Amino acid sequence: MNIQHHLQPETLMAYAAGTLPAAMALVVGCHAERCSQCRQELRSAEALGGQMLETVAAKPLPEAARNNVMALLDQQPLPGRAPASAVASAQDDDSFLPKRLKSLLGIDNYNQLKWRKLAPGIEKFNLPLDEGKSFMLRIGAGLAMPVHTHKGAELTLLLQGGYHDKLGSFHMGDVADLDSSVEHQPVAFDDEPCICLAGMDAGLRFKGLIPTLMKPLTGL
Amino acid sequence: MTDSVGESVDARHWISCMEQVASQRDKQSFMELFDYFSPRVNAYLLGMGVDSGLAEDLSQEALLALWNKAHLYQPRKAAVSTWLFRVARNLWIDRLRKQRATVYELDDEYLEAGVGAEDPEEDTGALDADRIQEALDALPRNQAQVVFKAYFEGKSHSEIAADTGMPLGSVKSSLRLALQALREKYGENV
Repeated sequence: MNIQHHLQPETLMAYAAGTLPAAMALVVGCHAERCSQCRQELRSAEALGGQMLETVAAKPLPEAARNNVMALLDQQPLPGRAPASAVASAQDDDSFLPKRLKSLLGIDNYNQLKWRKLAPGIEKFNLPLDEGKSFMLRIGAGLAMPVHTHKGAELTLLLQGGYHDKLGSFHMGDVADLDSSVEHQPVAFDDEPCICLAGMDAGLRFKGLIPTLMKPLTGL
Repeated sequence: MTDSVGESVDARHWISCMEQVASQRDKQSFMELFDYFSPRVNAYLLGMGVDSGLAEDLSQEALLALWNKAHLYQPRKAAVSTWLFRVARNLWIDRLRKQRATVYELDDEYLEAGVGAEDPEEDTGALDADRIQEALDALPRNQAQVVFKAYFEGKSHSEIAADTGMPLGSVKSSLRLALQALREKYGENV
């Protein structure tokens, strides 16, 4: 099925720049697995980054670093063939399980998740990412999504079934890329449950000094 | 495109250096790439807020990745500078934004395993650097500044808005216009 709803260019640029919080980057990566149009736009956004690398004011490394690298060349393992990715995204006519979700959650299908009941016919699963908010919803056929508010941006990817709201109909693979000005209440299609992955930036605190103070491997 | 002393350097030259590294393990070609790109990768990492010691380590690591993975490089997919930008960005994510790493790691596998190599739709090509540069040069100054902050200072859109005093909507439209300008330079195919 053709994808009708895509990511905004500036969202793809933020992904290319590496600055989206994990919760949102996950949605972008999962959508791009299925959407060649957004993949292509992402390549352009990365080409922009590459070109900026050409023009940035150069800051040479000390001579010792150069010597160090030269000395290391002979110690590098001989190149082998790239291992084919062990994880492939699974998709059939009924549902789409991105390889990123498979890898992050270690699942083969959505029934393996420990869904938590929110309301009759509506279940939620929180993903183990705390950079932003990341969760999945499973909504019974014909039911309305819970009303929610969000302070910042919200990305929602349809993994199974679909919904409609005032912005249109969203089918499997489609993504809703919304800012906080949009108020909507999606209603799942009548014929099957709807599963979606949401990523939000609310709760993020990044102020200037933090990145420079962080050390490797401290995570976030 | 010019090097640090202002001489014109062709993107094709870097591709042939990569080919020399891939096929011959040619150290001279590698050191040419090193001398040109390591100061740029270093500048990128410093701009992203990495302290100088770590930036130095990661720059070396990025260039060593180029030595080790040159055989996986596909000129049809990306310029050498784009490939290296991705490597440097992913190293930054891996060390300083750990949670995002799972998302980007798989992206790397995807490219490195050559998946999609048979899909010409995704070719952006390596030889269009001049056109990208033209597009960048043509951007109004405030737009160029927004793009720089987004890519080379690691700022979120709302942080850029706070920095520049521009409304968030203008930050986003500046970014869109930059990508659009790039696309117009490329023509219909990008």
